[in-house]
Amino acid sequence: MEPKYLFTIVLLGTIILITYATKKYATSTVQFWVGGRSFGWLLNGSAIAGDYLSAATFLGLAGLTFSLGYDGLFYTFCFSVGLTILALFIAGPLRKFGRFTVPDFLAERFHSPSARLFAVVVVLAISGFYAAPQLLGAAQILQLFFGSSYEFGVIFVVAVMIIYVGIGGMKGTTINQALEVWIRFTAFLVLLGAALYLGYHYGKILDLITKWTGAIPGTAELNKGKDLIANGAKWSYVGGGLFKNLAESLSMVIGLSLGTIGLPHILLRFYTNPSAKDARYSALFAIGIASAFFAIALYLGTVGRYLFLTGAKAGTLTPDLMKAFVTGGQNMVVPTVAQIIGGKWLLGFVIAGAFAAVFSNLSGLFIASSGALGHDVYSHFINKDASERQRVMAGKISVVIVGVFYGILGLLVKTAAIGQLVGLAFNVAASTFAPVFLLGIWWRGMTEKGAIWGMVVGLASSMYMIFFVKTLPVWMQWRIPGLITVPLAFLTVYVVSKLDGQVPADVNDFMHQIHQPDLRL
Amino acid sequence: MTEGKKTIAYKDLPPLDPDTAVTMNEEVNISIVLTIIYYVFLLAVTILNWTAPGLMKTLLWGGMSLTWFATSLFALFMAFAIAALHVYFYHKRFNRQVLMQNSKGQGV
Repeated sequence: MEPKYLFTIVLLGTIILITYATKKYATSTVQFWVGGRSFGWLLNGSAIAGDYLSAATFLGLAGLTFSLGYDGLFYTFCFSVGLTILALFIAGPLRKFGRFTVPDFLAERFHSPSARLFAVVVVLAISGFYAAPQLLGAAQILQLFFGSSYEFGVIFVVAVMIIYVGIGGMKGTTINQALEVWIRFTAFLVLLGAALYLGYHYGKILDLITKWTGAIPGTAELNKGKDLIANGAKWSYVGGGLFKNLAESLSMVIGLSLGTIGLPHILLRFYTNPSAKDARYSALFAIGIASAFFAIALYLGTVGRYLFLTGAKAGTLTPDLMKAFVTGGQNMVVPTVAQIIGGKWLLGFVIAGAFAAVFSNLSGLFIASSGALGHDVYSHFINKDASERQRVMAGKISVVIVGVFYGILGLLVKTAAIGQLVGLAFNVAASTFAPVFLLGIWWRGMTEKGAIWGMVVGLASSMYMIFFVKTLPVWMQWRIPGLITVPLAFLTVYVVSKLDGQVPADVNDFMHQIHQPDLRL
Repeated sequence: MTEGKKTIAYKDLPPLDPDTAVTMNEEVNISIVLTIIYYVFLLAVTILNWTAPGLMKTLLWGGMSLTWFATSLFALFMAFAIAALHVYFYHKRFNRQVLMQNSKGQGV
C-alpha cells in the first residue's frame, strides 16, 4: 500500500476511535459545548494551536514564501501577532466569565437578546467566510493527492466533520485537534531536521536564491514555451507581489493581528479550561507551538525555492517534481520538499498532516457555529424552557445544519480566491468582535447600542471594502482593509456609547466577576 | 445574570470596588506596556521596509538580511516572549494576592 493511503487511513481510524471513545461525555450541555471545562493547558493549548493552524498555514505559507518570497513572509508575520494580543487582554477574563459561546458574552454583558442575536449573525458570517476556503483547500488537497472530484472532496470532509463534532462533542473534538496538531508539528520537525542535516542552512540557501537572476532552466515546457524568470533581489524584499505600498502593509498588520481576537472558534476555547490561570497558560503554549510552526513553514518555503532552482540548474529534477514546482500551486511546495528529502514515506506523513490540519481547523468552526445555533438561538429564542436532553439534541442537530450550510458554501466557492475569503473572515473579526470584546472587558462605559452599532459598521465596512474594492481609489485597494475598518469600528463603539450613556446597572458586578483574582492553586 | 434590561447613566455609576479596580489597573497597565513594545517593533519593521531599504537589506550572515531575520525569526520569538512576560507578571500578582489572602485569613 502507498504510504500516503496508509497514513491517511491510520489518521481517519484514530479520529473515529477517539470520537466513539468520547461519545459518552457528550450527554450534557456543559460537556457537549465546553468539555466539562476540564482541559488543562497542554491539551487546550494544543487544541487552540490546532484551531489556528489551518491547512492554509500548513501548506500555504511555505507556498507563499516559495513563490512570493518576502511578501509571503510578511503575510505570515501579520498572522503571528494575534494570539499574543488575545493572551494579553482576553484569555483570562473570558475564562472567568465562563459561559458557552461568544454571543453569551455580549448578551450577558448588556442583558440584551438583540446583542445575542446580532452576535450570532457575526459568528455565522466569520465562520462561514473562514470555513468556505478551508473546504475549498481540503477538496483541492483530495484532488491533488487522491484524484477525487472537487464535489466529492467537499462532501467527504463535511461528512467526517458532522460525525466527528456531532458525536464527540467538545471533548472528542479537543482530543482530536490536539492529536492532529502534533501530527503536523512532528511532520514539520522531521522535515526541519532532515533539511538541516542535509546542509540547507538558512543563510547559505538564501544567498543562492537572492543572487539568482535570470531564466530557470527546464521550465519552458511547462510555461508556454518560455523558461520562467527568477529575480532574487525582488523575491527577497517587500513589494514582490502582495503589497503595493506602505499603507497596504500597515493595513494588513492591523487587520490580521486584531482579527485573531475576534475569531469565535478561538475565543470559545478559553471557556473549556478549569481556571483563568489554565486559560493563560493554554494561550502561551499555543503561541509557542504556532510561532515555531510559522518559523519552520517559512524556512521550508525557502528550502523549496532552493531545491527548485538548484535542481533545475543541475537537471536533477524528475518531470513530476518539476511539474509540482512549476504548476502544482502553493499547496504542493511542502509535499514536494518532503518527497525530495524523505521519499514517499515522508510525503505520506505530510499528506496525513495536511488532512489533520483541515479537520482540526474545521472542527473548531463547526463547534462555534453550531453553538451559536444550538445554544444561542434554540435555547434563548426558540425553546427557553428546554430540558438538558433537548439542548444537547439541539446541539447535535445544529452540527448537521452547519454541515449542510458549510457544504453548500464550499461547493459555491469552487473558483473563489482562498486568500480573499480568509482575509474577509479576519477583517470582519477584527472590525466586529475585536472592538466589542476589548472594550467590553476593559471599559465600563460601553453601552449596548455602542456594541451593536460598532459591529454593524465594522461588518458593513469590511464587506464593502473587500467585495467592492474596485470602487475605491487605487491607493486604497487593499487586500485587508483593517487600517480603515478597525479604527472605524472602535470609534463607532466609543462615540455611540458616549452619546447613549446608558450602561447596565450591574456593570460593576460584571467587571468584578471577570477581573477578580482567581486564587485557586 | 439574566437578560432583563436595567440601565444607569454612566456618570451616575458608582466606582468599582477597590480590589477589582486595583487588579484591572495592574493587568491593563502591564498589557498596554507590552502591547506598545510589541507594536513598536511590528510597525517599525513595516515602516522601515518602505522607508529605509538600505538598512533593512543589510546582510547578517549568508543571504540572511536584517528584515528577513526580523520578520521570519525574531518576530516569532517576540510573540512568545511578550506572552511569556505577561504570564510572568500575572504569576507575580497571583502569588502576592495569595499571600495577602493568607495574611488576612490569619488575622481573623
